[in-house]
Amino acid sequence: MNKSNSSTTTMRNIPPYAEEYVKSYLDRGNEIAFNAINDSFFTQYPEDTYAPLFQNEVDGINALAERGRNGSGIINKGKQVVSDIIDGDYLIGNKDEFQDMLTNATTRPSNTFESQIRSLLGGTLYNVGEISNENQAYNLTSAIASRYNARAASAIYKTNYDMERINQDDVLRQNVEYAKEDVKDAEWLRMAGVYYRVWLQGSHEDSYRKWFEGQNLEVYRVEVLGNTIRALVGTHSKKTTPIYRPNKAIGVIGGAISGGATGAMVTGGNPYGIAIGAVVGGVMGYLSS
Amino acid sequence: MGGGGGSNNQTVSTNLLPSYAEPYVIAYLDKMTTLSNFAYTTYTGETYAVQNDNELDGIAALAERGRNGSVLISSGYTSIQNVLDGLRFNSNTKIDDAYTKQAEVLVKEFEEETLPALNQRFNMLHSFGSLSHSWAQAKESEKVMAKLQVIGMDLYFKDYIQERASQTKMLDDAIIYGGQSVVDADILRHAGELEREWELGRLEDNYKKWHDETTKLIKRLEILGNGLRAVVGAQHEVTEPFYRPSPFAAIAGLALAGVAAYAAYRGASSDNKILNKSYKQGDISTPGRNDLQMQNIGVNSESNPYGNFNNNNILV
Repeated sequence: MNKSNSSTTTMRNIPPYAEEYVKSYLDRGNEIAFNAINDSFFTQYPEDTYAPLFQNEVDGINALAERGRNGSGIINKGKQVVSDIIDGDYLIGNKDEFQDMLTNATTRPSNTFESQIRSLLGGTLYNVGEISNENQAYNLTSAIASRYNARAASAIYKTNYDMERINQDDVLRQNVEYAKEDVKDAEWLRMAGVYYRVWLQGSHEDSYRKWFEGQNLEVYRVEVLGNTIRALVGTHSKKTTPIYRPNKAIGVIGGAISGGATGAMVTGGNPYGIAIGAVVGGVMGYLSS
Repeated sequence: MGGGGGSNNQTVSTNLLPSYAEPYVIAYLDKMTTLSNFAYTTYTGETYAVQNDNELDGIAALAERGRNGSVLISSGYTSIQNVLDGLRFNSNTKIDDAYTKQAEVLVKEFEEETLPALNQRFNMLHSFGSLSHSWAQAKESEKVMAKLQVIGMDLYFKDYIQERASQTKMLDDAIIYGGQSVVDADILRHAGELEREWELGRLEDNYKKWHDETTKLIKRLEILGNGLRAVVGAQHEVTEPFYRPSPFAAIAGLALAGVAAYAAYRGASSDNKILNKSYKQGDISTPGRNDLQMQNIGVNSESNPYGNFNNNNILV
């Protein structure tokens, strides 16, 4: 490119009287960035920046995990009762507590009858007469207690069955609630894990930030000077742009017209003079484009 | 670079800041320079509040509750657990006593009223000790047994039914109480979380203090930097070259101008020759030079009121 075909513009955006401050600013930025006397300002933070888990929190998380993993003792018992009811284990009355109740309900009357009623039967000394040596009344009542016990037991078994059938239906709603406990336990166990993971994630991120800070210490320091330089960006600029030039065809035509006109004037309108002028002008116009 | 030497450039300065503001700008920059040397001394006061006794005691109480649970809830828990375990069955010590008292009434009635009356009746009939007497005693004693059995069923089986009802009812409560271990665990965890949050805040505060101390040089520097940024753009000074045409364009222009001048001169000479020739051949008198000049520029000499100007005036 011909030098004469470009234009360079120089712009300065800061007043001359501010230049000494600019130099001072850059000098100080440079001093901070490179002088060893300032090394202590660019060291890694030596202390902890992330709090450890406290014992209460650890114990709470562990308790939650324990609960989630093993469930609740009382709920486990409830589950067993619900399961037994639905399975019909109470219907037939073979549970220990039922048998104990049945024993009490029959044995106590039997004992009373045998020891306090039946012993009174037979002949007495109130009256004189010929009495049999045999206590027939006593003999006649030998089976009464067991018979009434059996009747009572039969009634109790029947009533118990009716009652447990109602329980069997009623407990179906509770069965659903107990079935949800497994889900709750799983969720609590998961949450115990999440609580710990959230803390651990924070710890990792903190470690990373420390590491990153250490990696960037020097860059960070040099950027002090970089920032001073950036503050001045735009205060001085130069721009070089080409001057607009017509294309060669236009140059040729323009040259030919000028040459032709010149030829006409010089030769007094002679056609040959015009033609020669046009050719010469055209060539020069081409060369100069 | 710009075409040609410095003589080809022009510099245009535009002060966006009025000239009368210049002293203020300098004062501003001076002051910012001073401040940037002395500002940001180390802050020695507290920046993080310590936990007071109420907060500490509250957290400790939360932890205590979470760790050991509630006494009331523990009691309820045990009670429900006992019911579900079946420990409440056949454990009512008052039932035996109630049975004894009710049976005692029957025994006393049988012994003191029923049996003496029966014996007396058979004695009056002279059938005391007979088989019919024995049958009568047996039947009366059976009635007592029937009543005793009713009492036994009523007391013991009823107690069992009540405990079974309680057991099924407690199934709902067991779920509520079973959740208390979770509540306690979360309370304990939360207490620890509160302690950790405070500690984390303390560590962060320490870091902020350290950061504040280690960056004071930079902050001081940037006081001056901000002062300078306020001035950037206050003046707009532009230096740019003149536009210069290409050499050929200049040459062509000069050539056209020269040729035009030459053609003007040459054209005038030719016209004189032609005119002189026609005058030599024609009948009219030869015009003066002033008339020729008028013809060249398209003005009729006859109509020219100044047609009598002498040659010297026209050529000047």
